[in-house]
Amino acid sequence: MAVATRQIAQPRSAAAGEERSSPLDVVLQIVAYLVLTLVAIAMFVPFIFSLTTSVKTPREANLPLTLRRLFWPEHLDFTAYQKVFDADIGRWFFNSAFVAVIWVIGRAFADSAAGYAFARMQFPGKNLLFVAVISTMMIPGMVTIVPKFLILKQLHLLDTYGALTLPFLADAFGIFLMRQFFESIPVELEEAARVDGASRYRMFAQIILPNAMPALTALAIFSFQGSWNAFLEPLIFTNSPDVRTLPLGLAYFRQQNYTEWTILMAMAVITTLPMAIFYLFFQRWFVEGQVSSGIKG
Amino acid sequence: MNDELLARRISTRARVLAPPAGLALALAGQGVRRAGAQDQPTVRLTGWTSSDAENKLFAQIVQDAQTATNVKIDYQPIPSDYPTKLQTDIAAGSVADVFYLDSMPAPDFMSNDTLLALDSYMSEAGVKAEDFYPGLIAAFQYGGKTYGLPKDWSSLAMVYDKTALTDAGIANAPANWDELKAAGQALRDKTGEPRINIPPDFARYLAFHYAGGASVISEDGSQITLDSPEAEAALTFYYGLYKDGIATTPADAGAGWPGDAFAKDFADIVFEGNWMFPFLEDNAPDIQFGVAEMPAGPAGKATLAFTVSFSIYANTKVSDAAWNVTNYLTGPEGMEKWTSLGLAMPARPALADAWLAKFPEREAFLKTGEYAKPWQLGVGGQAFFNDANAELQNLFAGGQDVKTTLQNMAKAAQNRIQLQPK
Amino acid sequence: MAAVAARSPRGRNPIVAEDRRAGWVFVLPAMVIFGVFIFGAVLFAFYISLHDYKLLQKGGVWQIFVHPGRTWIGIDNYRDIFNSGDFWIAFRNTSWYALGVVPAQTITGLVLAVLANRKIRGKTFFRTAFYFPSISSSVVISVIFLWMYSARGPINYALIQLGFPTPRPVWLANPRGVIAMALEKVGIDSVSVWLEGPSVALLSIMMLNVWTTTGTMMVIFLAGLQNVPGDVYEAAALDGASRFRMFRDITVPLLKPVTAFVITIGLIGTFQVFDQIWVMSEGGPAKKTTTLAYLVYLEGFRQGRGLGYASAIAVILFLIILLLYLIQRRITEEETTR
Repeated sequence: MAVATRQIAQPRSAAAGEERSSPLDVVLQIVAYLVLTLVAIAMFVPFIFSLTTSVKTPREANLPLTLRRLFWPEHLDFTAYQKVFDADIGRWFFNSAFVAVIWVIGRAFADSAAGYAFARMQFPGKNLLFVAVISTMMIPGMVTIVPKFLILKQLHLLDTYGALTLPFLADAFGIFLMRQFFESIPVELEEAARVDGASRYRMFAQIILPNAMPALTALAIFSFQGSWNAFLEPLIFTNSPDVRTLPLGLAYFRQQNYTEWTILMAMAVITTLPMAIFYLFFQRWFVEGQVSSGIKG
Repeated sequence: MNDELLARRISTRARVLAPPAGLALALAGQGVRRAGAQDQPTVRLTGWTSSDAENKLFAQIVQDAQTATNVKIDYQPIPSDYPTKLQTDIAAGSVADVFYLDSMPAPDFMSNDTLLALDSYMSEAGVKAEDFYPGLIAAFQYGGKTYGLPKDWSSLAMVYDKTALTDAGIANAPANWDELKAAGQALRDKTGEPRINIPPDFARYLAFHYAGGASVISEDGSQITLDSPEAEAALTFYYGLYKDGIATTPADAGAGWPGDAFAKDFADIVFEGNWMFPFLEDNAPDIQFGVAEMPAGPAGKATLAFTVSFSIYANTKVSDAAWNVTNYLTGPEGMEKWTSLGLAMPARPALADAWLAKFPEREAFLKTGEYAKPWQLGVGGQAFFNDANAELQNLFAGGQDVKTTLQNMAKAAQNRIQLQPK
Repeated sequence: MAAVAARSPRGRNPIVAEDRRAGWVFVLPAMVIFGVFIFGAVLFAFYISLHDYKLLQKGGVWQIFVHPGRTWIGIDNYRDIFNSGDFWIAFRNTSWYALGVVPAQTITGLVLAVLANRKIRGKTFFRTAFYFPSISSSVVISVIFLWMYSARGPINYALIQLGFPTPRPVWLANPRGVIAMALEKVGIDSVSVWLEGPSVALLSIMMLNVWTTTGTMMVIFLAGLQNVPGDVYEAAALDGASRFRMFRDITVPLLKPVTAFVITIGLIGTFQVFDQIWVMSEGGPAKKTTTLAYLVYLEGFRQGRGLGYASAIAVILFLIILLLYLIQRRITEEETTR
């Protein structure tokens, strides 16, 4: 019935639709471009302003703003950058990168192994365990911060790289991501290996992991990002400058340069740039990792 | 922000861009770091920093202390949020052997056995409590024991821009509240904006509170007396300056703290301590400033004495060496060197004359020694301080009136401060 | 292998039998970390919340397991928390925060996704641009906005140029509730603390949060939209459905699971906001940006009511999130079954 009706109605409806929607379409298209462009500008403007402020003289930064001053300084001045480099920023960068690499390696190993087991293997307690793991995604870091602090204290790991890495070597989201991926791999691969008499361990190392590079990349980027931006845990677990990471160094730096905007904005520029470049090259992975979490979640 | 009272950390710390050497050591953590030189004990020292100049001088003093005491000193300042970090470090057992301790939170630390009592060390070394200003060392005594030696002190005074005052037709620095108000009005009329800068901060307001004849705790220590008619008058005056547009706050002016507003030429009159001057030198060397005592209130002159001690961790493994370092840094030689930067005044009266000879324009600060009241309110004072600031901020925003503010402050004081009736 | 299979009780193929053990071997590394730092930590948080345990407590942590009697105080921490003004201030702040940020970021994310899902050029560019704030460090963004909101910063500048009043005290220093301020304008002077609305300072941080996360939400919605098969729309168009009806009757229902997800991560995100508060306002002015997560930090590590007390707040925070999640799931499920 419905089909028949539609077939009959088709020519008229389509014609009417064109007549009706054409001007509307144009308007909507313009609105879409306008809104999207405005929002895109809004996303970048703070970063642009931080760049223009960072190359001002401290004197100019204290003067009342004008439209011109917002976008271009009267005199280019790079002393603020000098001051940022005089701080220990190189050390913070190194520490952040070092910690992030440990996170990535740990999770690539622990999360993918666990994700594989949850995707393909039958073992006692599996379902319960999986539900337990997934439900921890809801727990804010603040809830476990006190126990983590005390446990790390008891392990004599406070104020070391250990405190910044050990509790984070596995995470629920990563396990979930890897499990989703392994479920999408055709079973035939493993069945072929099974015929050859390979154990689960060999199968995983020689067949599964090499085929899991896309998922591992997404996992690595997510882990790297999580580690790179971690603030609460380094704040509570560390103190000495030897193990200070970038966000913490920046937060302290901002407290020391209270309203010295040129210096603070120079710092913002220096720390945003590497991540921005990395992002532009790998943006597909960033966005797709987020997307896969969104769709399947 | 309260921990930054004595040391506003403003300019960049001069730090050599050290390559991450000693990675393995850092990885292995505390244990390894401590077990350095066996023959020569290593004392870990911490404090906060405020400026390049301070850092350089302190590094020099640490050098001298190493030579004088034959102790290796590992100095690592805590960059921010000092009281919190000190606490977590004590909890973690990773705290330095010798550290700065501010007078306000000091009772919290002294009351729970986290500090080493210094009395026996003092008598052995011939250091007498009388060598220090009595009000200052008393801030670090608790239950009949001494838990720290004051390294320096500063009070609040009025710092003003000489040129701006002259331009506004003000001949003398305002000496009392009425003159202050008049000066503020003259400055505003001249420039079109408020040029007195006062923060909604209990560590500044309290000086006005005392000048108005009000108190926080009764003489006998038995009750909270924050909420009195005198207090209402004092707070009405302080807040009135802001409400009537004669004064502004650092945030409204676009600055981090009053000294910053002064340096950026957003203010002509501020109430700050000695820590402001190295900052001014770095950031605004051209301003012609004058220093005067705090304007007198209905009850006469009043100001606050801020002091900081060197204290020793109770569980330190190198107590003798830690004492030697403390003794050097608070001794005549170390203290003279330290205070020669002008960040604060010597805590030993014997050094006062030499200091004044070096900084004659700051006589007003030294004069306050006769009447300054210590910045300390007992166990729980630090927590009360945070609550009191919240009430002042609410008042300044017009969220409550003066009376309610004082009532709420009194309530907070009841909750937080452990009264110790005499 | 064959031998194992022969002994296997179910007599299934060898790989299944092997999995019973290998499965655990595979999950073991992750589960050790989880066991100690997540499952263990959550249980530990519950346990220690029943103790009067201070940051500067003497002796090892194990003391509270070996000699629980020394620090055990039952539910006293919880009672104290519910009696303390600070908790309710933080509860209100957090509620306003979530109530403002979650709908704002969800709706703008959805609208942007719908717009970007049209046949337009530069789709990748827009996606990249919108997601950019999400990858930047929260500390850096906070510092930039500290300047944007400062008295002589660009936001005040723009308001002055456009002839609008600027708040006094300035944005991040202003603890007044925005609803209370609006009501004052129409002559209502006193309003219950529950209805004051978020403070100007909190609102400033909320706007920053929406700015940061909208892109994430948009990207998720966009992926959801692209999963909607195109022929559904074609069929509807043929039926003569209006664009608005198509959006309401096709797009919105199909996006329901995605929306539920966006709201869930939004709630979790807003309930644990911390970095921005620490960097921009330290919980002030007048405690009006002290959120529950920040209060845990404040009481545990800063003001010294103790780790037990802080953990009790953390447990309450956890239960609130759990409750919100369950309510949200209930609503979603009801609507899908209807």
